[in-house]
Amino acid sequence: MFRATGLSQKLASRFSLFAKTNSLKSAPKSLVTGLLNEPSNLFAKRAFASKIDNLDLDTSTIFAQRVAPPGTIPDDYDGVYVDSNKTDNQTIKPFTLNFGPQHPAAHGVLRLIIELDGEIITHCDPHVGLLHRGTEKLMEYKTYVQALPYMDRLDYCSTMTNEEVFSLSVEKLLNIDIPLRAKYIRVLFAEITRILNHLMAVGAHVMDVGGFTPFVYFCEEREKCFEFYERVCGARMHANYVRPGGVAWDLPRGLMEDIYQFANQFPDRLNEVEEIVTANRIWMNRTVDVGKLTVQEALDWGFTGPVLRGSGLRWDIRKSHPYEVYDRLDFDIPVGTRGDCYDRYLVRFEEMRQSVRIIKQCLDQMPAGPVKVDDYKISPPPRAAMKNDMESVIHHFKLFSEGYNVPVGETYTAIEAPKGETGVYMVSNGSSRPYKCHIRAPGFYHLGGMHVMAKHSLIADLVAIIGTCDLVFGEVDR
Amino acid sequence: MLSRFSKVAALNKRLLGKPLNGGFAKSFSTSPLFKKEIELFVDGKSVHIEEGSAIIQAAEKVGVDIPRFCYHERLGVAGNCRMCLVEIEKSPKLAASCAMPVSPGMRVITTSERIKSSREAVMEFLLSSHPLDCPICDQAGECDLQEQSMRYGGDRSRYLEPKRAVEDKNIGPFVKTVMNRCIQCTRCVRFANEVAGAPEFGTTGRGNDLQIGTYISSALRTEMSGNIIDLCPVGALTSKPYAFKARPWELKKTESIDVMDAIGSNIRVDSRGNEVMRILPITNDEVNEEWINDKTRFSYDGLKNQRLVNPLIKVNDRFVAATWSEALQLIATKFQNTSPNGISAIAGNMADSESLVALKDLFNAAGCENLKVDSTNNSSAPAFDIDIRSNYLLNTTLVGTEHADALLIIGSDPRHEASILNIRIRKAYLYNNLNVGLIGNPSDLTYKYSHIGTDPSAIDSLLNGSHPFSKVLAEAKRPMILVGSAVSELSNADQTISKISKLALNIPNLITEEWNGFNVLQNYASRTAAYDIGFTPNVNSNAAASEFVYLLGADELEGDSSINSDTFVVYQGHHGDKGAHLANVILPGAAFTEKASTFVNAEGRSQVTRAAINPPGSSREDWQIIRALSEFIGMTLPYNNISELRSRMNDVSPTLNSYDDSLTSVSAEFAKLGLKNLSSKTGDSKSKPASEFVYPIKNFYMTDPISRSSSTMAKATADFA
Amino acid sequence: MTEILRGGWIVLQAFFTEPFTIFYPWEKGPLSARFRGEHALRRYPSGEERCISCKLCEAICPAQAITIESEPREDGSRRTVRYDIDMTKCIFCGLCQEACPVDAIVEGPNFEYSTETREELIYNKEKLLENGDKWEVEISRNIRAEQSYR
Repeated sequence: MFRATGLSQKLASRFSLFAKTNSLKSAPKSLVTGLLNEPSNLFAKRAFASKIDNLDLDTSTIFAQRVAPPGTIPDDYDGVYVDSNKTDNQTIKPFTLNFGPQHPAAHGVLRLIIELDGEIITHCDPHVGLLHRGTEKLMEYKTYVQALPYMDRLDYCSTMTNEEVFSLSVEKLLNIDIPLRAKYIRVLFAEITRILNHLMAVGAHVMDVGGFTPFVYFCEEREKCFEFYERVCGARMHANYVRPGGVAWDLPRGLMEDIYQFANQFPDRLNEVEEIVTANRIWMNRTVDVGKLTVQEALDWGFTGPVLRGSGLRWDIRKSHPYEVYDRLDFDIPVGTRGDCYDRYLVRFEEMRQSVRIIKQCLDQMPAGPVKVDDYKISPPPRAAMKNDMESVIHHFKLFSEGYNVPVGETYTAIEAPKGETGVYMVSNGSSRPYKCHIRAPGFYHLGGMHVMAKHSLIADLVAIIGTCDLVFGEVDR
Repeated sequence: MLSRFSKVAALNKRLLGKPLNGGFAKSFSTSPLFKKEIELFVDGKSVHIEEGSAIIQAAEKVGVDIPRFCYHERLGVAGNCRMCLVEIEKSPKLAASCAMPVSPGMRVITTSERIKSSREAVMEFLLSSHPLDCPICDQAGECDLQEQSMRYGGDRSRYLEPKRAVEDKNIGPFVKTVMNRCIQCTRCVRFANEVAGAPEFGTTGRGNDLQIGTYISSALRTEMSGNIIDLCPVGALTSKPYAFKARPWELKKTESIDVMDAIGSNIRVDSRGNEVMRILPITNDEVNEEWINDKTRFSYDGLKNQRLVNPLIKVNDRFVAATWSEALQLIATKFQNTSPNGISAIAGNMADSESLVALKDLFNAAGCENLKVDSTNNSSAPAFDIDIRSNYLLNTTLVGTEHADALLIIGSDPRHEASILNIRIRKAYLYNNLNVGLIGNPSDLTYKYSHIGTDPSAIDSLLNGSHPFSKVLAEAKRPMILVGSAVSELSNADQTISKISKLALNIPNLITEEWNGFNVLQNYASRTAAYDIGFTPNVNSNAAASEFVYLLGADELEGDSSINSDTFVVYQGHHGDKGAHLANVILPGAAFTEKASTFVNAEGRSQVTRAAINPPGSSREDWQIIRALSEFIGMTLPYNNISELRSRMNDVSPTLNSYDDSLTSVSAEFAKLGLKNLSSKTGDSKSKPASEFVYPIKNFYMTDPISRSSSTMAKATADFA
Repeated sequence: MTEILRGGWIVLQAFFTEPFTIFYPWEKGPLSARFRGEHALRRYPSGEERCISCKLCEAICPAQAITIESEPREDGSRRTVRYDIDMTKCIFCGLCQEACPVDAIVEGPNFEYSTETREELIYNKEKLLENGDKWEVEISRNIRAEQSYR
């Protein structure tokens, strides 16, 4: 696995245009002249930002600062202090910039209020809700089968995994076990979904940072995955395929063959893009040491998935709490070391390769058998039976009008969705509609912890960080 | 079905002999049939229930659900579906819980592996001969068979053979039959035979060839035929007017009260969007049990035809649409320019209590007391002397009627005037040895009676004891007299009523502390409330033609001499019937499904309708129209919302507002006083003696503007005429 | 510098490979038999409309896009009077075609039905039946191919 540890320093030393000066004594008195004379060595900018409080400056001439009352601001806070109990009438609020909902890099509808100190971000405050559609409330008024298309539309880059988490939670409440073939099909398509998602995430990330080519290359790969979706369920994106009780229909003939062909050629496509992006100095300049996140911070702020793994923690729900057939499959989990955007990008890339591995194993191990649980009181009977059988007609009718009743209970079920830990907290009151269905969307928490990653970055870095959080607002806002 | 009381309470009332006049403060003595209570255990829970009940009733009392198809609490036990089988400890075979009587210390188990497989087997058998009709069947979505199959049956079938087919029977314009679906539970047969009194409905053949029908290809001739639609657990018997129209999950259900007759049956109005799709009964053990008559059930399609939607002003023999302000201004001007003696109001048969109170207040504010109800003889005070309430109510109450042991019907056809009351009388006839005597035109009342005579002179024969029925009345422990309200419309009403009250006072047990057997049967939903409010003319009021007549939904107007070509008539109602044709100004009001209003039924029970849909076009609620008119007139009524109006109603008569389902009865003293007053009436000596009692209902299916506009009722008239 | 050149080489290679772009509308992407496109109401081979107004499609539609009113026809059979699908509400989930017991409402293979006004997208029964007649050959071929899976 490609590790970026020593390379950045080497590159930096080879290509810095000015000599790195670590000496503080040569720092000018005025911050403004300091800015002009300071080397533009990008790798030294971390040191520069932290130099603010090392500078021997009379800060009262620059900002109308007040020292905060003791104990109110933590020691490692090195932003601008503003005292609310002003003794004179001067106060400076931080300069805010609206990284508005209409923005090519804003990944959907993201409104970020960025508080700036010059060009350095001191805090960013996401205003979410611009794609809020009332999903959780609407689901309470629909039966479980009718509520499934809502899950599709949450993280619309990874549709089948959303359906999978919903189906798993309902199956837990129904206390049923689905056939093995259904589990394998679900895992197969979950991994295709992971590929779909990461292709989008990486492609969009690179595009935001400036490289437009990988995006279109990955879009072609996504098209191939969409073709698989369409062949199995009839729709390219919003599948309505993975249902409580199994999957809706069996794989059509020839699909597994085609998926195998795809899986064979896919690593070559990944290699191509990796060639363009991974060692690219521009890319590394833009992403190494950007958006650093320690494991502790990640855990504190609820990060999961590739973001958490990029920081160094070996945590994957597929390995720690295996669901479906992940315990029978052989795959590795990529883990980063530095917790910056570059590592997260590498984690995602490698996950795609591992997904191909899983897909091939699923294809090899796919058992014969039914794809739905055999109970017609939960999954509708096949149409041939429905047209000939009295009980089947009755069950078909009742399932499509009233829906199956789920026993009273509540569950929190989570899976390793491509973006992180997607969970569903479902409460059932015994009727055919969910009483409460709360969705734990990973993007929501990543966005909430954005300011941790974006502290002391520049605005350009912010774009890279947003891309690395892999935000899709369908799930953030629901 | 929705139920006002829990089934347990209802059962208790029936089985433990609750008081005969509901709501009486005195203790209940002389209650019949008080059986011993025993204890048994259902699923480990202890139940105390009277001896002779079935296990299924004990299970219901304790809250355990046993599935069933043929058992119905108000019908006799058949025990042929075998779905209610339960295990009894120490018994080798499973027992049908609907047929097995309880015994002390019995231990009943309702869920076990054996019972589960027996239920699956019963469902499998039932479904093996059931057609795959679910998508086209009207009962789907509310079908007992579907629900019990989902819950208790298997999920696939083993039946590969052809299924039996049965011919469809034509039993009338109301009930659609698809007999392939019939599971032969015989609920309809038991209902028709026991409750409705239509013995032509039965079963023919045995075993697999059993067919339900009339066999002689006749229609099911009973005014309660629609109830078999509710009873049938499958889609074999469905509603013909409602066929294919809607599915139960699309319907919004509103609890309301029926106003086609004076019983005030509790109904559930199912609507979709702004259209009433069907009307179903609600269980109310004190009023209509679980039944409603066909007119109530099927005349809702009249709510869409002939509706008044805009205020109309008659200009040169044509009605021109106007705005509310124009119409109300015109009326106000006329009202102000007419002297108080020249104005009068006639309350229609479906007028609600709110608008009656409002109209009375308005007229009284103008100094006028010419308020009439829509009947003949309405310009003089009502013959029944409404000062004492018991003079015009069904004092025995509907529940009490079941406990009577002698009944004298005078001038009334309870079968068509109040079908629910007729059902109760039939119940008393079947289970309580009720002896019925009829004075009036003989007709089929579904029970045997002794015909005493057809004209008021027959009452004399009872008074002087010459007819054997007078002995029956004298010896009865709970005698009843039922006087039709049409008696008050006879030309010699006062004399007749005086004779009747003398007879009533002579019968020893007729009025006691716990029992009041003197009943007057009102025919129209608004009548009792009108009498409670006092919507009747003063002694000094003017019976001759008025200059200004306000018709509050009055459409019968028989023998009304107050309207002639010079009269300025205002019609406020919801259908363009007779009254609207006579009008100079038409104000569109709301029908009973479109407003929340109070109606007092024949027993004196006040009940509220609820609005299920919005009134069409520019129509408004009736009391609001009167309130708006009062502003235009300049005598603004002192209430602005329904609560203020209802507190005014409470001031006028507290009986209008008693919504706690209790009846306020009149004490025996006052009842007797009322009868004494009636008996002392001599009436107008100039009136000729009437020859016969005249029944007010000529065609049961068309008695009010709603049913007259209904095509279903028209079909029924054609079929049953 | 080498990695930039290596990346450049990849791109140059891509420049000379055949592009993936298809020339829509002359070339169209592949569709399977399960594709969920424009709705259609089908008929029996005799010409009788299949829909028996069971209202299962209306009940299952998550977007409540289907509105049905029904009545007995003159010959006594159960048929719809009104069958509207609001294509602007429809989410193309395919539940209606799964629910239909007689294969009356189907999602056909057509996806090119854009209109210029919103009103035209509220399909009434006539329009749906017309669709059905137009696309029947392909729809029935798709259904036959899919029969064994459903």
